[in-house]
Amino acid sequence: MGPLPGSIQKDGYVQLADRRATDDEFTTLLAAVREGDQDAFRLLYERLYAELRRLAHSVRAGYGAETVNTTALVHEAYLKLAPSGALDARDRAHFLRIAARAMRQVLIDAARRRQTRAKHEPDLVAYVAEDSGDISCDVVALDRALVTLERINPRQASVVECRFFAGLSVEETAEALAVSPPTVKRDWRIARAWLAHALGAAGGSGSEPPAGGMPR
Amino acid sequence: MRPPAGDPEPVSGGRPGDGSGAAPDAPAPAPVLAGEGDPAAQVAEDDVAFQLAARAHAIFSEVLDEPPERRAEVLDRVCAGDAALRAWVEGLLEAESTEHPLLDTEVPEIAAALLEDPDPAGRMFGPYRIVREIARGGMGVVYLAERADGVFDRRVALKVIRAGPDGDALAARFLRERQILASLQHPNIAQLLDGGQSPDGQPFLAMEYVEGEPITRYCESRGLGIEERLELFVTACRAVDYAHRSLVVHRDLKPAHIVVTPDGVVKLLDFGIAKLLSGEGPSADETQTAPYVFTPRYSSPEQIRNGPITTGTDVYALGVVLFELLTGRTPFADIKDGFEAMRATLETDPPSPSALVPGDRRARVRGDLDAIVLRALAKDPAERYPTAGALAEDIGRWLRFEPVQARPASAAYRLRKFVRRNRAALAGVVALVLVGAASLAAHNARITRERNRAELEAKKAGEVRDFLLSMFKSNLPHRALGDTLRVSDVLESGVQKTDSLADQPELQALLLITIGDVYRVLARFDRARELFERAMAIYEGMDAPPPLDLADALTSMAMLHWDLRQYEEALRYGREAYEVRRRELGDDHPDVLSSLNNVATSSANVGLVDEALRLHEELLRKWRHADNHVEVAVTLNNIGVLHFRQGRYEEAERFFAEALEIRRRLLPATHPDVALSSNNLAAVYRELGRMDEAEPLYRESLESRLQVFGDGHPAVATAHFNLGRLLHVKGELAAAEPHMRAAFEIDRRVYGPEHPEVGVDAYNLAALLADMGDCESALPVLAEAVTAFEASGPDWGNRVARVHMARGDCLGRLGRRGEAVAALRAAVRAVELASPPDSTVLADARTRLDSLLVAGW
Repeated sequence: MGPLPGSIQKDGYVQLADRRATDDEFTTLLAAVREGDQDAFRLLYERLYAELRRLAHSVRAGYGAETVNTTALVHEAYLKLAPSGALDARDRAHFLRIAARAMRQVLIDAARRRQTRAKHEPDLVAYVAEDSGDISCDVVALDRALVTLERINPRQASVVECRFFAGLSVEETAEALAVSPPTVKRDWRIARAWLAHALGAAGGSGSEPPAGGMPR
Repeated sequence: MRPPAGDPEPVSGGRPGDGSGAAPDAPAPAPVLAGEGDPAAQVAEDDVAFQLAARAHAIFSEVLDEPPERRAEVLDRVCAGDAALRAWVEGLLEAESTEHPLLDTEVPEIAAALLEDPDPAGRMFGPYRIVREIARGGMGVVYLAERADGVFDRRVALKVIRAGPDGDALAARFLRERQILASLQHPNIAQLLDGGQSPDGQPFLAMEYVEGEPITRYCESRGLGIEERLELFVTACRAVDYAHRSLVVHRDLKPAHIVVTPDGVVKLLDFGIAKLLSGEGPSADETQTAPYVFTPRYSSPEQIRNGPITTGTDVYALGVVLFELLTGRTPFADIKDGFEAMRATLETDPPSPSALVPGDRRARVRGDLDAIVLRALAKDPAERYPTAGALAEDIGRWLRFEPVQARPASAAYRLRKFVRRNRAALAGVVALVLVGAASLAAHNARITRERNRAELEAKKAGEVRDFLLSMFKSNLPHRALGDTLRVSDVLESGVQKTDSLADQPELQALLLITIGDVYRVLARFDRARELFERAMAIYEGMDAPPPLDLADALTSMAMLHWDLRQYEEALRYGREAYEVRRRELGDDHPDVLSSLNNVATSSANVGLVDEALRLHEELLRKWRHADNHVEVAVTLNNIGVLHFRQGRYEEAERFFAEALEIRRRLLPATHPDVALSSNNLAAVYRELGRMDEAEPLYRESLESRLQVFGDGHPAVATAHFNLGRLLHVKGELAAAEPHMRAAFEIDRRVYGPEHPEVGVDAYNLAALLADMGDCESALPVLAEAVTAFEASGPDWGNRVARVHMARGDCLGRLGRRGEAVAALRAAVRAVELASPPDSTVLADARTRLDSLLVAGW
């Protein structure tokens, strides 16, 4: 007994069109990133790095703010680069992830510059009185510890980028990394302990962990 | 390097093993970090110390799940004899439960500290010596400073700019602008006095020193009533209006820039500063682009969009300040997420202030003041008050109990625009939520998937609810606003509330079409048709229905009939829509071309194949010319289908393969069009006998549709069907069965038992069961096939005959000869009733009947 004549292949394969999406360069780049295009990743990363760096410094200096809301910067960069403001969820996830990485680099670079300046201008008093120059040392040490964590568990390192550096919420981080919020919470818990330990439980000293320390 | 910890599968995107290489949980590509190579990054994988670190990490992750009292025991076992390892893990456990000064600090504070420059207290800026810092806000750090050269005995507010244009550029711009700014002399505007740069190039501005507090705080701390607040606000508006008449737009109005001195004088700060800092040319042109420094909560849509800045931009910001003076908060203050708040500024209508004013004051704000605020906050600058002065006057009217000019009628206009903007998105999002809810699968991964989907749904449902609430909020009963509100309730409520829009038939019809589209995407076809028909009736009752709305309605009808496989009707509505759009939009508008596509595809399905091919080739030319690759892929696909149906499989393969290649490149991996192209290419391979190439494509298509549509959607049924048939033909009968069954059950639920689609499913499922030797089970399924085809009209008579013949075969095999003869007689009768009867089927039926009768002798 054979199939009915002409009944095997259903006509799921003709399609009607009604609305169309527009795409701009930004979404095209994101699409390429999604396909694993390294050049597109680099381009996007560099653009985001430049944009976030500019935003960070302009907010800090321009507004002289006591705090710099890195999450808001990420959102602002998003609006700047994706003026249509309407990426689909997957593109937004890729964006958040790359932006978090770029935000990390912006802050690390700032910390490194501060360290350098502190050496050259010992007379100047830093604004954040309590920690004075220490915080930049801490952050640079943190970055170093993060590089190691990245090799052990890249996703946990990404969680740190999203949660700590970019200030994303648990939900946004979950979206960016395509994992569940409980996974983000657990990753953060492990990564936080790992980094705290690497920085030395007392903090501020940037000391290496015991038992031979981190590989150098 | 995959994370070692067990993790549920991703909430969205690729799934494990789909081979797309684009799964979102894949590690991010290596970062391109700045120069300084970090030593740790250069360590080889087999480095002993690294191995130790990795083990410590793994053991720590594991031990963390153990209750504290059991940890020592586990460590004894796992770290046996390795003291270094154990010390490390114990250190991690201790760090886990101890606060850390850096890691437990919120990033904004850290970021601010890192980005901070040394304090310039005591330093000289031109002739000014800094006394002390007085504020951080506005567009720079502000210091109290005094002139050191004693030329004037004057204290100034010195604003040191650390971003934006460099010192030279700012100084040059200041020189060009100073005349205009210096001419801004108004008792309520703080005067800009000077500008320059320090010896090391830091730019600064010197302004009249004002001691005061932001207008909002001033009003709150003194508990001022509505009238007193409005009077202060009107003063601010008039000062803004004065500046506008001198062609200066503020661009960054907010409470911090509208201060009130202790003796009650309003002063506007920083007038003209934003433009000085915005990196623009010297002209006083009113339509410059936005500065990059602005305050999101007070920013107009055009600022967020980087559009032209006009006096209307200040009117909008004044609207936000007024909103805050009346309600104590900014319009989108409830949206904590800054990104979403900015999007709301672009897309969402602000709430009425009165809805946020407590108790006794609400009645005073409701109506006129609502209208005034909402007019100032219009998304389109042209719909706002033309000037700050006009805003001040309207408030003056309210204070004098005169009728205000703000027209509440524009609310319907905004709602209408909202619906237009969001129709497509709305249908898609609602579909994702609701389709997923109806699940029946018996998959291995079912539990996990459902949990993930539930999370996705919860998130999407929130978005949908917001969309829909903003559509219908004025009409929704308040009791429905609780947590238990379901999307379908909102949809139905929306349908009901459209009744009250009888005096706005255009809006009413548009809402009906919109909601109908949602139902259509959800495969709730009866409900969709009902709503479309009501919309069409409304248009028919109008002398001149809005043509493009009408074309949308016709298109929706065409697509509904397409979904129902009623191609004659789909063609008829598609043609009408095409004609209307072409008349309104010309030959080459994208909407016109997509209508033409619908005409072409429907034509092919009613036998006008040559016509269809001609139209598609024309479309292909036009889309290629327009460089619209997404549409090129649609057209390639549809041409491929024509070839496929003519049996020109090599031709079809060429078109399908190119379409798939384009879509894989441009669309997300789970996009339904990618699944469709995979399906089609698989069909060609199947026809060409390349079964092993067909199967993975069919599976990919099924997986992707399951993920996007959930497991109750007809597109998923089609995918199950095709994969099941392929497995059947390959002889993998047991593997085929669940797919054929799923296709049958989904379609029966979606289309009802009396639909030819269900007949096809049932027939093929029965054929499979019979081939598996299970004729008992095949018979009731064949009975359903009979029902389905018989109810579908005389066109389907030949199919009915085939089903009866299959029944005869099964009954014969079961030895129920009498019933088999009856079935074959029924087959002959069915062919004779068919229009037109298929002579091959008839001959076949007669032969079988004869041989059965002969064998029986």
